[in-house]
Amino acid sequence: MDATQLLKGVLDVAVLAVVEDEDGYGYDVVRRLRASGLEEVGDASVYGTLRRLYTAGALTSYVVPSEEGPHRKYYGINDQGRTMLELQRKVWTEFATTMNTLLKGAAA
Amino acid sequence: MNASTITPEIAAFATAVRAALSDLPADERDELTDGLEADLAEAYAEDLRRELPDPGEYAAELRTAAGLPVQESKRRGFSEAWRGSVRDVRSAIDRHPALSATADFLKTLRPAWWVARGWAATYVVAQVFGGWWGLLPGLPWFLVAIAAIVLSVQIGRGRWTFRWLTPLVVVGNVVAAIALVVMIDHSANGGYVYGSSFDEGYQQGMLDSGTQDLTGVYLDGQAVTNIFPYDASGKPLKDVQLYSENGRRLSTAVAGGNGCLDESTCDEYGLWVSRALTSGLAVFNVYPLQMVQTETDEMGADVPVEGAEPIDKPLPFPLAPAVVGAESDTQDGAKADPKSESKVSPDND
Repeated sequence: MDATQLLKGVLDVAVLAVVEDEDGYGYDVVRRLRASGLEEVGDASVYGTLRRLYTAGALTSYVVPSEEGPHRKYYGINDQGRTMLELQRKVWTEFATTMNTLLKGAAA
Repeated sequence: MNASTITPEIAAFATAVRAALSDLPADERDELTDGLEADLAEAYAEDLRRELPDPGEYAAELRTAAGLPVQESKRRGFSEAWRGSVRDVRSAIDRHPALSATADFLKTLRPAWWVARGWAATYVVAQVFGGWWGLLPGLPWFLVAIAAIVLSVQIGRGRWTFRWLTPLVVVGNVVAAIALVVMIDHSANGGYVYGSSFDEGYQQGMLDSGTQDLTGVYLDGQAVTNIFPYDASGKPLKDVQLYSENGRRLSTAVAGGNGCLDESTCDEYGLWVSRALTSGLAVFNVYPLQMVQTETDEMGADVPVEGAEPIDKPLPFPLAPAVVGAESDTQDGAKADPKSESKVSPDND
């Protein structure tokens, strides 16, 4: 099975979880996702997801000017984002439990 | 944060990504690509072995992830627009069961097309060098054709693929398809009995046309559709061949030429009928021309009604005034004496 296909469905919740810990800018979020083990995640997918979650009202955004380099756009989670994350955590946990049970049953 | 520099490659890449998103509203595009250079610079500073991806694909990924519609735009590259159209057609076919069944069937015929296009490509090249006009080539071109077929099949199987090859294959396929039609047409016409007369008439028509179609015979600027010869005594003649001053056939019709079957009502069309010469030619200069009733076939062309006999066209008048001084002689050619015959012979005009 292709992990990148699975990733598409759960990228929203993964990005929300990363940003919940600490605000981050685009590549920072990519790096943290990869460090967590999602090595296949694509830069553009993450940037697009951040933008979509922001448009959906789940994230806040602010710009941090930099003295030497270009400015950074940081994203942070807000109340709506936290609600969304909690809901998706439940959905994921139930789904993962169902799949684990199913796959164990098939192997036995 | 790593200290990172924006290289010209990264700047160019970011520009290309923005260009691929140019169909989006400007603020949407700016929001989506804000900080792109900085992010890229940092990513590539961290891992120097990374290569920049295709900006079009990158933009598409960005767009999809952001939940924005994949829109076709005139400002996007041709190849992207083309790929988009192909995708649209494919999904339309997939949704339609009959079409997708047809598509599956055609897919199984692809190897035959690979062979045919290799053959056609050789035909085109051979035409340039003037080497091959029939259906089958001589040995040297035959060997070239074998090589071209191997190449075509390998490309078709995806064994030999290069990025730059794709547009070439598209153009090549179109050229090959046209060449095949020409090739089949050539060989079909080779065995067509009336081919020469049709071509002759048609080409002459094309030659004469210029800006305006002047095919045929004209009288005071009006097209003459038929000619009714009368003999010296004023009786109508049949099966008279007419030639122009320089020996060209005086033809008022070409193959496929039609007109009203009955001029007074004109509710049905007829095709002018050619006459066969002992030389094997079918000609349209034997007068008066006859007509055959037509119907429209499934291709939309006029074809003679099956079993219909050619019919005579009505004479403009049953008898013409006789020619003074020649009436008795030309009524019967066998009796004509040379002296009087010379008076009515066009040779002495």
